[in-house]
Amino acid sequence: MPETWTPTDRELAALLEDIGGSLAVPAGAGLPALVRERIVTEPEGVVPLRRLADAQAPADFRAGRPGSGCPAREKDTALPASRAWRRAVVAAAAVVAVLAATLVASPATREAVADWLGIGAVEIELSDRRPPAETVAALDLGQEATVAEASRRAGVPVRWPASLGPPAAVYTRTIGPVREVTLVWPPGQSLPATPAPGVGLLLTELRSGVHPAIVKQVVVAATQIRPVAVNGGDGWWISGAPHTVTYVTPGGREVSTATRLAGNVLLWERAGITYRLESALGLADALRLAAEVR
Amino acid sequence: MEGRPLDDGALAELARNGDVDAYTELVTRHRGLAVRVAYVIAGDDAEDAAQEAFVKAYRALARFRPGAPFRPWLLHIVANEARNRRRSAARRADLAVRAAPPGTSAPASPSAEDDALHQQRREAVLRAVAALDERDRMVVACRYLAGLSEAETAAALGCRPGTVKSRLSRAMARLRRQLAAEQEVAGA
Repeated sequence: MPETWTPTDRELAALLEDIGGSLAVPAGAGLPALVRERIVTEPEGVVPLRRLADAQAPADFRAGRPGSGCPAREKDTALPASRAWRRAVVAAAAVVAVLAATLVASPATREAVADWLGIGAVEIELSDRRPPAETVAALDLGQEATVAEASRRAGVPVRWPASLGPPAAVYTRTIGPVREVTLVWPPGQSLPATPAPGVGLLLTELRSGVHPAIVKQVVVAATQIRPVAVNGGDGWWISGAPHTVTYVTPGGREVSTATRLAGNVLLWERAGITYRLESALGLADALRLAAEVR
Repeated sequence: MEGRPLDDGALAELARNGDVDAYTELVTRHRGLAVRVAYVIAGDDAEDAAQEAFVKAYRALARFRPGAPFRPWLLHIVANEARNRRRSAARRADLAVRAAPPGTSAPASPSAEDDALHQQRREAVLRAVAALDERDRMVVACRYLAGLSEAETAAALGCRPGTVKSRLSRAMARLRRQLAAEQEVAGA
């Protein structure tokens, strides 16, 4: 070339785009079928695994859970006599089946997910709205999971009120034969703060065949229970201090779980799934959110 | 399902809840660009890289924020998969430029000599791009060879648009220096 060719940025860019248009890029025509086959047939074990830390035996929840701030409930607390359980018992779905040990991919940390996707830790966008680890432990929320994993483990199609947007984090917890899914939202514009750092609202879902029985913490006189209508069905509004909720499984086993926040609880059942919404919201707001869970 | 086709967001939401058909539709929609981005980064491994990226993206859907744009998120995964493959590839495949019929991709040139010159320059630029360091090469590849916008390039590379701008101008300067150096050697 006679004189040195010194292209401007613009000329270089144009040339690069020109090259780009001429590249022998493969068509990738077979990709949709190949990808489809892989996601359908491959177990999730193709990505780095973490075994379910499922070894712990169900705790004796009658003794109260550590860190929840709820003292042990009394052994013989009668059901509220005024309640008449009219609904038929729905056979519990394959709760036992989903408790079978399965390998799931559940990268719980930013770094683990980054490694899994093969990229540097700083480059991935993750929700940073998760509650701090101390809160997770103190409230005994359980094991972190993705929505899909939680759905599978608990045997419930995990749902949430659309107006809240997706949860910041999802956890599963085992209570006897039942697995509970808890979704967490941080405090924000529409969610008042609660005493638990990073937690504005908890929505717990579990597959229960029977109406839950609500057991008051005898020592806490401030707790009030009020029956309400939720989505045309029965529900309960429990305001005041933390307390224990007891479910009765179709097998007649009693399963107790403590509520975590010192706030209000809206409890209802729909289509064989029991929902428990804990927050600092008032009844009207809680009912509005419950109506969105469909 | 009747009427108009679902948008990416709706398909992604379905796929998040396990709808494999919805995800397959997403793959069909985006495979062209995914393979292109993989190709400009990793060359011949592009189809494998894109396949792996699509599978990984499916498994990562639980962490995909509904409402976020799907394509940039996907391309981020593709770009990283392609980069990892290129890093571990034993041979570095050069990008192949199709022999284009005259008068199509090349700008209108009045003579065969100009055609040859144009082709020479294209090859020189490709060599210079291959000689860039990884970061510069990836930003040039995404922005110009794959034709992504500045915003999409930023999403694919996981950096801010401002960073893309500054990296690009630095890369262009290096390309120019590389081209000049090559010509000096040739002229000597």
